[in-house]
Amino acid sequence: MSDGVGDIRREFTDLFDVYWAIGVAIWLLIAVLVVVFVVRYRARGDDDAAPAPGRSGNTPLELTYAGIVACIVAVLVWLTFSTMDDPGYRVTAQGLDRGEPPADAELVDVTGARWNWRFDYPRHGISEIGTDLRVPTLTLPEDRPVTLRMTSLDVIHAIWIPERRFKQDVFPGRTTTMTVVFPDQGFWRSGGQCNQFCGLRHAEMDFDIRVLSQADYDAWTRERGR
Amino acid sequence: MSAAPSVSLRRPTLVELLSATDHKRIGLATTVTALGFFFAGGVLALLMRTELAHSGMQFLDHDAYNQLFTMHGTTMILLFAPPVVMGVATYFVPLQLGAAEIVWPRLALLGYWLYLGGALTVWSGFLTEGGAARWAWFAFLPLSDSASSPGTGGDLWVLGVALSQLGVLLLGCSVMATIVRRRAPGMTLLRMPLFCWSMVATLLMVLVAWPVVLATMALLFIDRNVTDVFTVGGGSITYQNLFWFFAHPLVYVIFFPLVGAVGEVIATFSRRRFFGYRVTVLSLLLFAALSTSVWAHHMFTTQGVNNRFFSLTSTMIAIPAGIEYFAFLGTMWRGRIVLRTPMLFALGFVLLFLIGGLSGVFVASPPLDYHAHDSYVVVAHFHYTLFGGTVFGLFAAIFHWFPKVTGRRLSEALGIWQCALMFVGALLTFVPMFVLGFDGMPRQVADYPAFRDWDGLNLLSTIGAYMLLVAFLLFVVNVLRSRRIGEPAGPDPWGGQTLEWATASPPPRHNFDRLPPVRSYAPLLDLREERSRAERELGEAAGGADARRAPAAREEPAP
Repeated sequence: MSDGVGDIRREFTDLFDVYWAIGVAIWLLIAVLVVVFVVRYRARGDDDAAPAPGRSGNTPLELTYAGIVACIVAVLVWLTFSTMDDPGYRVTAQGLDRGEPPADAELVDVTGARWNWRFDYPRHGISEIGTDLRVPTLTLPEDRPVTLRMTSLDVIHAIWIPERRFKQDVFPGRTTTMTVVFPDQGFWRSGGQCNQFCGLRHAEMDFDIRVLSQADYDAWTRERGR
Repeated sequence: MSAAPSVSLRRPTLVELLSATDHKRIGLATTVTALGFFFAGGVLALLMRTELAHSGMQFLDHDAYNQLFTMHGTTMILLFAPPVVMGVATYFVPLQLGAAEIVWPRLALLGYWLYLGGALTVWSGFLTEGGAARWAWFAFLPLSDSASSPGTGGDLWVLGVALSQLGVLLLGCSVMATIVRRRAPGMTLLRMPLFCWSMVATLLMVLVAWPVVLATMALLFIDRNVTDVFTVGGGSITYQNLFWFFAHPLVYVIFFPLVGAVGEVIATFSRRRFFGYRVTVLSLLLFAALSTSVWAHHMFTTQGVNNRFFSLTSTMIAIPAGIEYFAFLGTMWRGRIVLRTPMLFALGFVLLFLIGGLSGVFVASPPLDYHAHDSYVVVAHFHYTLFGGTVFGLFAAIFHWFPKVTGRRLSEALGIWQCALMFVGALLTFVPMFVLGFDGMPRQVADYPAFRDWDGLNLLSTIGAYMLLVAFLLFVVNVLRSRRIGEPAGPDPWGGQTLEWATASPPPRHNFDRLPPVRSYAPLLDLREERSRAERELGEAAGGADARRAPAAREEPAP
């Protein structure tokens, strides 16, 4: 992993683990309390309609409890904001998330149009587009940031790359960007997919992702380029 | 209190039924119509789940599927849920307030007719040549403009949504005015039942958000038929901001009233006063206030909004929501819990809505939402809020109040079966969606490739959906059974705490002959406690009978 470029998938997983653990713990706590209360305080016989004794409120207790919930919320928000400040997110998520792509990032111009993608590599003169028979392939160098400069020719699309745990909307008349880093080589069939409903064949608007070593990538750009 | 005499024993004619300005007629018509759309929307969902049970296209084509999920979402979120809570509120808020009628009954009646007409207008899209709208229930531009989605079905969708939501707004205005102006003597704001307070919070959101959807639909209609409105510059982002400014308060509007109803069910069936009433009221108002500042968490991936701000406000929602859960548990704590059907549905609400709420905290975090957004994770999340929350809460309310509306009881046995099937069905249908979404399955697709290995989980989900169908058919059977052989309910079958139980079932034309004194938010419980106390003192004076098991509460509440 090159310096200053975080692994967004790992950062996602770190944050997810905390949210998941807290969520499951709270659900179990409340489920257990519900069951215990139902068993422990069940009326003896259905006919017992006499009012139960007890206080109908305890404001200091309730406010203390609200304070505890507020603390959990504060911790979660702090974790979320810290993650957004982590290198992986600062590289990947741009726009108002204040991220910046590294200066040496490879550049791909992405154009979405119903129901196909085009990938242009302006530095190499390469253009890749899907046909009726096969979806396009996004070819990327391994362990190097690649900035996707995306726009649409018709309606809103989105690119979701589940393997990287990230997506970004693609608008007509606007350019949005995201920078992806794949730390390892590999091939992901339909590894990218349109994720904003865009009409009739939205479900089939996929592309494959192929990640090559830098040497293979250089060879590929020489071969496909001008 | 003597049961009030019925005004007329003659069955009303259809015209009388549909033109009556009695709030009970309007409320019942709205509720039943909305339940009809709930069943219709459910059928669309079953068609989709059937197609999704296996990879590959089996019996639908893409175009049909796209219409189905558009109309399923539109129907459930716009044509079923807001009207049904307005219907229940129109029926029960005046009764709980001790009012004889609603304020502006003709406005409410107009609201019902606009709702019905608008809903039918949306659905009439299926009859047009090009079919119904196919742009998802949020109709993002430019997909919904005339170039990308030509056809009458789309125009009917826009018109129908505007008309039906205008109807919801008018019904809401009438309920709000009733709360402000028709409370019984003694019923101060802080003596209103929790359901009425949940309606206050709901209607504050309606008054803020619904005018926005009317304006947005008008602009969309102009954009499609007259001249470009949203096409310049950041127009598509502007549309999203407008739509979600309506639609996020909307999703709270459709479960808040059920928080109130479920709170009352839990109090009634725990034989206790609702715990933490004041703090809960405050939390509902805080929740409603926050609801207008969270909309752009639907737009984290647009690069057009400040994600940190909306992440903060959206996560803060957990604070008032947590207070409400504390109040539910506090009410059950040391209560005398009676597990009748309304209580079972209420407990289902507590457990299943919690999944929706906790997963809502999850998707409020942009780094997590970058993965979850528009995937099946989100589909699972909002079905736990809308099915686990709204639908379970609604059935708690229906089983609680059905005897009041019809004068007859529902079968407990059928109700228990329905509740159990719904609970298991809701887990089986929607839990697999969390896994599928996390694994990369996007929403709003008719098909998924076989190599993904998603067939098994999708099949489970489809089986769950059919269990839900069986549960709802049991409900229909239960209602029909009750009409024929349901045992008479009497004025107060459950030992209720609020004023609607102090009149006959069904209530007469002007609701009450006379009202018990209102000294708290549970006036009938006050009377019962007073009587218990008096009998205990009498018993002690007479030599100590077992006072705790005083039979007083079984009787009708005294005036």
